[in-house]
Amino acid sequence: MGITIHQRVLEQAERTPRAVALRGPGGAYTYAELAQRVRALAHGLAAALPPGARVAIHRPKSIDAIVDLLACLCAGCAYVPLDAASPMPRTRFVLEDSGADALVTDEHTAALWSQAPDALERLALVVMPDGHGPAHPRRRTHAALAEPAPATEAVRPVAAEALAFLLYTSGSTGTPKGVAITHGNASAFVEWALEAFDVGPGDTVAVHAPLHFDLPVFDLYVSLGRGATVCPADEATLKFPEAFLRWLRSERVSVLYAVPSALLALLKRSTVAKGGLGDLRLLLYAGEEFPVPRLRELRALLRPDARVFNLYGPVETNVVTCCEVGPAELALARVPIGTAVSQARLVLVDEARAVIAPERTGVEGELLVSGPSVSPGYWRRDDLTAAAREVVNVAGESLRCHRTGDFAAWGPGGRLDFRGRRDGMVKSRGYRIDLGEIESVLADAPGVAELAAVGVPHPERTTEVVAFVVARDGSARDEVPLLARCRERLPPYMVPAHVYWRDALPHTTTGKVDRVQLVAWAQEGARR
Amino acid sequence: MSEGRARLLATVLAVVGETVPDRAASLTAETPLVETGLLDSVAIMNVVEELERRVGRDFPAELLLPETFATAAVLTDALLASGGFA
Repeated sequence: MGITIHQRVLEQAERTPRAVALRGPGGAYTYAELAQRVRALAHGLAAALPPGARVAIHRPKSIDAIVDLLACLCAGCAYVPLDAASPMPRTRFVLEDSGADALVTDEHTAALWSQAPDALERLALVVMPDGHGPAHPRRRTHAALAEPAPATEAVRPVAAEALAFLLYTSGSTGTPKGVAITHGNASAFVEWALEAFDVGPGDTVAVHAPLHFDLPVFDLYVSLGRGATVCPADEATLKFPEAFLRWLRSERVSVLYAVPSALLALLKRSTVAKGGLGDLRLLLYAGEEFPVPRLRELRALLRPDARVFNLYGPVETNVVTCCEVGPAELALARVPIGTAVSQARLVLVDEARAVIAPERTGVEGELLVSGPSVSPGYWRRDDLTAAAREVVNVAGESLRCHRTGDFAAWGPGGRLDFRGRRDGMVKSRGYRIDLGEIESVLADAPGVAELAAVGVPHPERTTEVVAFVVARDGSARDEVPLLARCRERLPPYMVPAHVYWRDALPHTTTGKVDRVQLVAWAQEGARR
Repeated sequence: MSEGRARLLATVLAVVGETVPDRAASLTAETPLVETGLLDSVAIMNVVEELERRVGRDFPAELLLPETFATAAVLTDALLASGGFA
């Protein structure tokens, strides 16, 4: 590992102290102010917590939340971003599962914990002012955090193997699982991205995805490591495509990394076709397939010299392939996910776990990934980590790989073509959803005899999740309690858009629920 | 209130109610729709698509803003004012 992702930001602050680093609703910080605020909080955290401690960050996406993330890293701690939109039981699960030693929050969000005060008992609690107040917390439970920090406090050193952050993702067993990303992992991705994309001073980079996603790793550490201005988009704006468009234009966003669903909504549900996006010069997308006809429409709304890239990589591996979308790609039926990046090694294996050589184009296999950006595993879940590991022999070399569960095929020029999944995981609006997690929430609901959740292709949102439910004899067929149950336990993006009651579910000859048939039922659209 | 407005308001309320049936028990024309989290981003798009289906017109893209979705009454008036809907 070369320089750490946070040290790169502090060094940039030395080079361009007066440039604007962060700009959000109600305020902006120059690089000098960013560094000063980061050091102040880092000093307090380092005095209160041992190196390697996990610090949960629970507040809406904002310039101050970004300061908190950087401060954790500078303190030699790892951060755990909590989804501000998730229901509290799930948030509490993540807080406890991560073994967090501290919680950094704001006054508004802190009030949510009044439902569960016992969850905070053993934590150091840092409550920052709402909005852009003073750099020092208003309340804290640890004396060391109250000390005013010297502005030049040195950062605590970290090793490449040290945990940088935990990103929680949907798990099939009914609870989310934490993906451990080390400094070495994050730094490998950032170093590649700095080479690949010329983001720098003069650029305005949007933070579109929530901070508990992996996409902001690019937005924050690549951009702030190079002197660009980072603008977090607030969730209220992102709910409305026209509001998002106006925000992109008013902030003059030049670099955007987003999921295709958001871009599809922009195309279909905003007035972008009138006036286009003339400031945008670099557009990156990942997480889902972008239908080529829509991508052509979008390309026509960008300036001629704008560049578009399709990136691929589950949270466990960071970005591992990249494909520039030029005229040739826009003429294909599907844009490839591309070739390996960041020293990543990509291997396709068939059902017998035999390696599919890149010359055998068009043959589908599971994609395995090895390399410096690949996570060491799931946090405190050795069972899941072991299940996702596979050692393969490629030309006499033994590679320790992560099994992505994604299927792909080699194409011409060593480019990979994505071919979907064969399990219960779907992508909806760029969010990774394990259908098993939704099913486990509904399975215990009163009156439910059998159920299945499926992802249904949707023209605007790529995939929509719906549930089919069979009632126990004599039970009322009421979707209201089922939806309410989902909303109490799952983040909004995992709540089924519809619950359909049926007398029975279709089964395949092997006795499994016939999900293909269920998708067809959902597409027929009959509500009940 | 004109008959046309009353009809569109009733449609808006019905569509919102059916989109989030578990949350719409006390829905009125003046209930905040977005601020309090009644409609999340998926629900907003479901409301838009269902309104288009029932009214038979495209939802004007320029109205996809937080202020338009303040309440069912505000949404109804915005749609009527836009002229192309209802």
